[in-house]
Amino acid sequence: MAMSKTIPAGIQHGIYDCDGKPGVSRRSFFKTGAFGFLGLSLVDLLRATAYAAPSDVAKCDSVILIWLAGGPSHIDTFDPKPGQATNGPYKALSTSASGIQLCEHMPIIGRNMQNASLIRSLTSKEGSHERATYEMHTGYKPLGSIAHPSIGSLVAQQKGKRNEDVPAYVSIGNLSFGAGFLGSQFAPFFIGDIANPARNLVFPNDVNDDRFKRRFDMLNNLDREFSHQDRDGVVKDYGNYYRDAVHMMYSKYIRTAFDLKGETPATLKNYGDSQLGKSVLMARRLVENGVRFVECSMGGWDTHANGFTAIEKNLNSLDPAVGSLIEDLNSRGMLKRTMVICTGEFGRTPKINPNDGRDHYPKCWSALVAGGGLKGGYVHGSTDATGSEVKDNPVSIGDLHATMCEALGVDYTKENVSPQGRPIRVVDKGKAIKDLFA
Amino acid sequence: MRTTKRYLGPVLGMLALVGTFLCVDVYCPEGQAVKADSVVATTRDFPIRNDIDKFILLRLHEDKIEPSAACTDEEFLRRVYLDVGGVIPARGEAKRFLADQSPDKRAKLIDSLLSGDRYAEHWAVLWGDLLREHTGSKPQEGTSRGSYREWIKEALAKNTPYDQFAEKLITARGNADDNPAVNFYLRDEMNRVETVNTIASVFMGTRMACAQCHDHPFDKWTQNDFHGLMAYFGRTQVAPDQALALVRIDTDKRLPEEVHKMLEPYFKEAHEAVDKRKQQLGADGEESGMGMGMGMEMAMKIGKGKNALQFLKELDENKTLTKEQNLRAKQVFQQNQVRQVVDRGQGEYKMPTDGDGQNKNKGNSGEVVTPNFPWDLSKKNPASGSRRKTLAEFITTSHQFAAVQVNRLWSQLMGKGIIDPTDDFREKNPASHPELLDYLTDEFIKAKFDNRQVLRLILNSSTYQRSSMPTASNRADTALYSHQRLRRMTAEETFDSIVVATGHEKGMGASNRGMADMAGAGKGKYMMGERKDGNTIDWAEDLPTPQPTGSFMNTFNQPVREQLVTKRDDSGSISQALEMLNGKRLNDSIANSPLTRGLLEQRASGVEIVNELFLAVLSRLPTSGELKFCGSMLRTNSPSEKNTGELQSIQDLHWALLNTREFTFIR
Repeated sequence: MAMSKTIPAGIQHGIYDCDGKPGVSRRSFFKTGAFGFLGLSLVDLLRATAYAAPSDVAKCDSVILIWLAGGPSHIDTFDPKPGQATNGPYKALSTSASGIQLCEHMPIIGRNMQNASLIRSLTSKEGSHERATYEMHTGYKPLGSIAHPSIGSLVAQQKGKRNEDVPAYVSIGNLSFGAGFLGSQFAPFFIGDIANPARNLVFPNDVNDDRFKRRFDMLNNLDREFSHQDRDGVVKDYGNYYRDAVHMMYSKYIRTAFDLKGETPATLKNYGDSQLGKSVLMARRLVENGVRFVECSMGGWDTHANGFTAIEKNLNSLDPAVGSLIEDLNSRGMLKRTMVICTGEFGRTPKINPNDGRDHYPKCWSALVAGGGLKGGYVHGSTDATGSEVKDNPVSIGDLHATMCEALGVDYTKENVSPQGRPIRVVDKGKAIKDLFA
Repeated sequence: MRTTKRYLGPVLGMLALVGTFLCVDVYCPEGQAVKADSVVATTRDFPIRNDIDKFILLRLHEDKIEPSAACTDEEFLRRVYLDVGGVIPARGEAKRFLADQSPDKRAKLIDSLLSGDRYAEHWAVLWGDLLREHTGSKPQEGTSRGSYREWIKEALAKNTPYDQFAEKLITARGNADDNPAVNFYLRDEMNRVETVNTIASVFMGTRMACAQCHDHPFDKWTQNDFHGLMAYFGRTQVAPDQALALVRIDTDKRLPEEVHKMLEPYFKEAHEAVDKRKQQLGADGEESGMGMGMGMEMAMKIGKGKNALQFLKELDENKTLTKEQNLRAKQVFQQNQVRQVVDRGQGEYKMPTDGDGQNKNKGNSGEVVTPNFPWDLSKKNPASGSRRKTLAEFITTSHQFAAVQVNRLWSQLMGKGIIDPTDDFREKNPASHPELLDYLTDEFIKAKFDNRQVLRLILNSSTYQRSSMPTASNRADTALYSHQRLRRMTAEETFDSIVVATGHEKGMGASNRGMADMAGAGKGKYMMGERKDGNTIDWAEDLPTPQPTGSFMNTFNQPVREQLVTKRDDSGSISQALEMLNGKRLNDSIANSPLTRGLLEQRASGVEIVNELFLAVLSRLPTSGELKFCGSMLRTNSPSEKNTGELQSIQDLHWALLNTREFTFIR
């Protein structure tokens, strides 16, 4: 990555001054030279103080959501039904947590099960991908009149940044739910291509560090006059986004987080050479560098036909990615304060269809949850013998969101006000699942 | 029906007032006398160009607030181009306007922009937000055969009277090929709740969504009001159009020939049904059935992908089709499904059951609801005839319908509705200038719902043409239009303005691409990726909506078009800044800019280069200070550097100008 080590002085001084104090005058700006006025060391020092160790009383600092798009079959993943007609071709696998079984293709998650828990009683009524995905991300049913914020944006809004240099919310993959009515400042920083995470953080073609600084220097000078136009702070806000953007470009935290080369070959191998493996590994690095909420998405779970071939293939990437993440977070002492959630928008029919697949089934599905103050080796709720009905402790989407909020120390009964003046709770109806907490 | 008399009194009265207003010291906050020269300045700066100015100045006078001065030609030029056409002027157009000495040049520019082709493109974005038009996930809305966006654009280009526009949407029938307006219904499938919310919000400025499940908590709307409105759609259905599906399947080259042979008799029947329907198109009345006489059962199976294989089995009596042929046929069937909007001749809408919290009033579940027009319960439905037609008539003849639209147009140009938010007309949210709203509404009705006429009135007023720079006296004013708003470009405006600012527009502008040209070139061009004007880069209108997550449009807050958006999110973000600093769109446009290359080839002087870049990006000439600074930043062409250094320095200046806040904020 072509990232330089010095931050343009114009960022520190001049129009983009963060606290509104008059910057260095134009003349002295030139005299001191545009750059080299402040080197990296000082900038990084400033940044280092901004990123202080969490002093939060909350149990959890960050969340990694691993989103399985399409609706993974609960029976073929987290809720096997050995011996039942509804069970697919997979065997059940005993795990490191006594009494908990998973699909046989999840050995790595299995050996970490003492540090993770399952919710096997998620239930809703929404069987369309689009609507169910919206509901799982926002906690609300889609309405034509209001765009609800996703849970990641809500966390970003309620908890703020952990590190001023990095975004509060990062989304890796193919997510389409942003900040809704909260506004784009709480929208995720989006990484579409894991091979090129720093897309707009690196200089365009034909531009190097010197040229970028020359450009930015010119911009600072030409832009100065316009700040007189400011009335409500909007003009300054916009300048602040530029300041933060350049901070991000030159941030060592971002550079570190995006650079998977910083990992040992063994770690890279553990997470797996898949899109998801790399995304999840980057999620860990992002959290290490102060990101609050990361979503990694993986497609391919809408298995209507030839489902079992597809699921086995999916699990071959999912298991090393998620299993190694839990293992890795734990060995680094991060699991206590990082919550991992892995789920999709609904389950799949217990009955196997003639095309050797399963269809949409919102009546019950499962989620894997770990860390962030939650118990390990525990199962909350269950389905009946065939995996067709929730038997006990039904969990709503709101309950799942509330649990996340509770761990983060977010008051989920708090209300935001929509642009239409409607009070909208952070979490609509749910209650945190007390039994899940350690 | 209201008359103009309501506001005539104040208007006559204020003529005298305005006289005083301009000559005495009313502007002075401390009450000191105003010097003679400032009185002269005042008369020059606050002329009354039309009745709008009277209403605004009267109210400002009452509140002892001084209006800001008139905006400069440069400010006006950029503002009016973006407000009417959604793009900055090309530098040639800017130059011409700024050099023009004629006193009526602003009015002339307004007229030319209102009749230019950018008008429809720009306002189609607003209507796309309101109607949740999208091309991405629902292919039928984006084909060249029946594009919703093109339908909206065409209505705007032809200046279809607004009442007819609304009526066409509300009463739309048939399939999207014949009548793209049916996408008003198709985009929500069978969900008429969204239709009712859209109609209430967009056409009547009313937020009724709350009343779906319970009486509105802070407005007068009851659950009966909501469902009384729903009942107008009790007979409306979105159904498969089997006949048209078969006609399409007939011409689909992917259909195996063997299957085509077996379907021959059905094709014949389908073609006849479609032809017959075409002849009846426009005929009044409700369909009695699904509108065709063909073997319904068979056709239904073709229409529904799931049963296609079963249908093929029945069709293939002698079992001659291979598995591959079966699968390919099934795929062709599925991909050629067509939906249509039909009205049955009978049937009643019933109160929903509690189901999913949809009805908190469990007592009335299942009761038949009679259609009721909630804004005027005295309106009586005719005994027979189309319910949707009745509703359309009640809506388009109501005073509020017209008021909502003029208020929306006003809000688009002035940054804030006379009633604000624009979809919240209710007693407890009164108008800031009720007489002005009545006046504009009456002008609109008098002009037979001509949107452009209302826009022309507003654009020509001194009120619209005021500076956005507040004065000491009006700094705190956010409601009385003492100064113009400073607004940010939208995603589409930014996208298109980059095209123009980097000289990629190929002569495109207010006047160059005529309307006749657009009608032909416009059809579905964003699906085909070709432009008749030969431009090499996309304009916003070329792109399907909504654009994907992480795209330029998405980053700059283009709505996802799933929710009705009356006001765009105009907040900035780090991602936006990064897109402008390092993004491909801007940097490629600069790197390939015909403008900078042209300047270099012409051996333009440093002053010429700076002047041209300022005109292209900011629609103004540089100040002497800016000229001096920029000149010093340009590298002259020394033999050792060849052209590279010089071109790079021009590009850097270009980049810097495009990244200034002056580019993205409209004064």
